[in-house]
Amino acid sequence: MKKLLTVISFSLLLSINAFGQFEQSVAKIKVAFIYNFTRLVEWPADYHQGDFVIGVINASPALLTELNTLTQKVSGNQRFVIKNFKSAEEIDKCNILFIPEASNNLLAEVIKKLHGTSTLLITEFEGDAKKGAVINFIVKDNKQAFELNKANAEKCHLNISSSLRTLAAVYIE
Amino acid sequence: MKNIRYILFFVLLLGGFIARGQNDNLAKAYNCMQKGNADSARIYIDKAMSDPSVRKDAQTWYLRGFVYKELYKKYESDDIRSELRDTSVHDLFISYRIDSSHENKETTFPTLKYLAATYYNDAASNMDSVHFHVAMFAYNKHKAIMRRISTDNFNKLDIQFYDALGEIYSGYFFSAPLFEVKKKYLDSAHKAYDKVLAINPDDFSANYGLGRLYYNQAVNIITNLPVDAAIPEVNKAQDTCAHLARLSLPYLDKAHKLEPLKIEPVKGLEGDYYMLHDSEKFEVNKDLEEKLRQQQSPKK
Repeated sequence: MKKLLTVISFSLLLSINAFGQFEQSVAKIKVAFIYNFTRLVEWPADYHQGDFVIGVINASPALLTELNTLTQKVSGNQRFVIKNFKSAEEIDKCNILFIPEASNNLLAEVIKKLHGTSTLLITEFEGDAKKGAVINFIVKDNKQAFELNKANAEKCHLNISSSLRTLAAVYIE
Repeated sequence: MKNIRYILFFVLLLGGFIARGQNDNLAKAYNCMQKGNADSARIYIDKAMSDPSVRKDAQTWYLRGFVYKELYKKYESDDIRSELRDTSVHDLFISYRIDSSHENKETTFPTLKYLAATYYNDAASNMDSVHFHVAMFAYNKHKAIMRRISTDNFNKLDIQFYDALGEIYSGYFFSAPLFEVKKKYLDSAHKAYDKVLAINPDDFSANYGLGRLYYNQAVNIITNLPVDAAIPEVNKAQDTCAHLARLSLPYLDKAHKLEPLKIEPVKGLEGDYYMLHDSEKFEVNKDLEEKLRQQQSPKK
């Protein structure tokens, strides 16, 4: 009889590309919120013509990827167009403008630039809702949420639906 | 030494057959085996087995088990479900059971150990994403034999086996396109890792594997969330993800403590904290990941 077989062992390779893209996941949540805002906010008539422009300042690759998924959709009869601005100077007519936290230093400049327009300004920095943003992303109970400033919306002639008001984590009259 | 043992055993075996005046077929089977002709030996030993008196003899069962083992090696060593091997195992166990003095143990057990090792090797060589069901079958066969002939515990082997199995199921979970299919593999991976942790709560692979599963489950939920989902639906998905990230954290944390120089658990912790919007802890882990990468990058 031959000697006992040479025993081979189970190979264990932690080879699976381990962790999915967390930046992408969080960006997707924000974009889902933004898409909801397009349905729950009413813009003045002159913003119903041409494309529905969503501007963003210095979007991260993850955010830009997620925003671009909206170009497959329409708002009423308007096509979604995504514009990624590098500075406040570049900003032109937008239905929505989002300033990510990393570009919040441009807030004052952007507010000045948007003065007199009906652009829905969205930010994500503590206190921005009181500095001119209509909607400010916040984190509440480990979740993405938002605060809504009624007065800022009215200044821009934006009509906020009652359902959006109730969904806001903070509603500032 | 082993060869001498087997020669002696066969001499005794033949002596036994002759002394007991047992049928010719046994002697012929024995002679065939001595000449290395297992095929003919099989014919004679099978014929001999039709005699009820022969079936009560432990040495006859041993001889048949030995013949079938040789035939398995000759014809079916690549066949996971080899009937020749199964028959050999079966016969050797009968031989051991009816041999009240267990005088055959010295020869029966090494042969059974050999066959158990072939099952183990079949399990190990099939432990991949395509053949893992075969691996499970073979591994269980290996254990079934070894449990009867040895007092060794299987903890070390079980850990290796179920870690590998968990990894395979995790791979399927990550790549499966449909939620229902993902769920099935997720559950299977979970069960495999749980088995490991029940044996050793400090097993790195199982802790890491479970942490990664919970984490990727959360990512998967968001990935599959339609971009036009209503806000309450988005919030519900966020609640689920936060829950999963919290479940993931202790496993990844432990994996990190067990293997502090490994980057992947830290990367996972980073992701969990990012999903939980805990920017402070996210940054701590991001910095740690960066440090580890610098330490491990080849020095110029």
